[in-house]
Amino acid sequence: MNVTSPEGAPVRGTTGPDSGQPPSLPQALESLLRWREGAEVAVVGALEDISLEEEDVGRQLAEVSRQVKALAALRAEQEALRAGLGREQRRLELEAVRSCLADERRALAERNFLWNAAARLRESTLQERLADPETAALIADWERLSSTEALGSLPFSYRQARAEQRDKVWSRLAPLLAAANAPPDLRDQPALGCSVVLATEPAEGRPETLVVVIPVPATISKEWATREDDLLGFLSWRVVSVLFMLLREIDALDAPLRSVDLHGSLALTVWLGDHTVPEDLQERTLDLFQAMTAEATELEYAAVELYAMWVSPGLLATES
Amino acid sequence: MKELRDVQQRSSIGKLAQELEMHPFDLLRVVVGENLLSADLRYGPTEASRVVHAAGLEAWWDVPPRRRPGETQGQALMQAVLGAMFSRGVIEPHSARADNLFRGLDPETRAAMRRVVNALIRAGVLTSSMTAKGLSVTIPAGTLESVRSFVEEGSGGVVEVWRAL
Repeated sequence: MNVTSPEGAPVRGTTGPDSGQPPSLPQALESLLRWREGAEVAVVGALEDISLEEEDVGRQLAEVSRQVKALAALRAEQEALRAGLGREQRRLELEAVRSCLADERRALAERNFLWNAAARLRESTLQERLADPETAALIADWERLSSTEALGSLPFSYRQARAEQRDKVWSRLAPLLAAANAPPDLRDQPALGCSVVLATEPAEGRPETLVVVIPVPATISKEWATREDDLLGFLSWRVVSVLFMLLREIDALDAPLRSVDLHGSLALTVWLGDHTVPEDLQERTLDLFQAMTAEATELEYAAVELYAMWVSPGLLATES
Repeated sequence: MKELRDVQQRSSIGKLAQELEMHPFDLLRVVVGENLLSADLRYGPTEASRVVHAAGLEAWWDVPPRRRPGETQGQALMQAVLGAMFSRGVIEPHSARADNLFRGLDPETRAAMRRVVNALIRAGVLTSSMTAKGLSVTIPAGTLESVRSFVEEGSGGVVEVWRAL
């Protein structure tokens, strides 16, 4: 029997460690005792090893746990930072919008000054030309020749000759009248970019209000009854016309429009809560702006380039 | 054929708005809605007439309504505006542009008339609604008899509103 074997319980008829000697009970017991002592030592050693390993693993676990906690804290910190980033981005965006609108408002005011000066010059030149006896005679001729009174009773050849004469007069008058109605020409000035900023409200969910901000003074809307024509007025009317074209397209021409002061600029808010707002509202708006700028001769002559741009919903929130 | 007066200096939309005593943005709503937006935002007399017709613009006042002895300005204006609406048949389902009620008045009387009309709307004597041509007002069927009594006899429930003005 092998005393070191865990299965080494004494079994009758088997041989002991001293091979070749007949087994005797005392020896067997002695042998068992030694086996037990040896086994005990081995087990104690193993248990000590296990304890040491347990302690080690425990320390590792504590370290891992500490790391997990530290990571969780770090995550929370980063997530808070991330949430704050959104707010910060919004704040910076709003700041950028305000600042750009203010800059453009100033630049447009300067361009408007030149526009007014050019308009005054054009007007005085026109008045001089209208006062010219030759021009006055042309206008009188044209009006006389345009009169259809008693024409029906005259021969065809006479009427034809009269029409030809009228066309000749008109060909001389037309350039003068075209100049009278042409916008002031500032095309020698550097191009001036100007943003029209659009957003919907509220920040989340279904759009209920459309906000359009134009870099012109908010007073333009209130002072309409006494304002003289100027570049800022034309610019506002152009933008408002686009706005109504959009409303006509989306069958919302009855939507109420309100003018408000947004950081000094004119903001127009349109309540769309009672209408269906199409998903392609932004694209449609930009298309209409593009079509308008292609037609707006007075802006082209003023060297003003109008850009429409959408910003995040809710960014242009106006207080009611 | 264009007339000379049409092709001489044409009014801008802003000047036309001033001539028509109508906010330029309201005017733009009408001209866009009625396909009368001109390419250069300028209008000659013939085009302007079309706009006036399309918008349903009317001037109701040549002179401010007269105040009777003992009447406040608000009371005189209420009497006048309800009388004008009633005689013009501005009764539901027909309506008039809200700015027709003010056109022709001087700025001070216009402001007073606005207050009166707002008070009438708040009291339910008039109703207002937004249309594709702008804000419109009418005498609702429900208050018609009361307005009739007030206009014709100076009596009826509307008198309470009149007393408060």
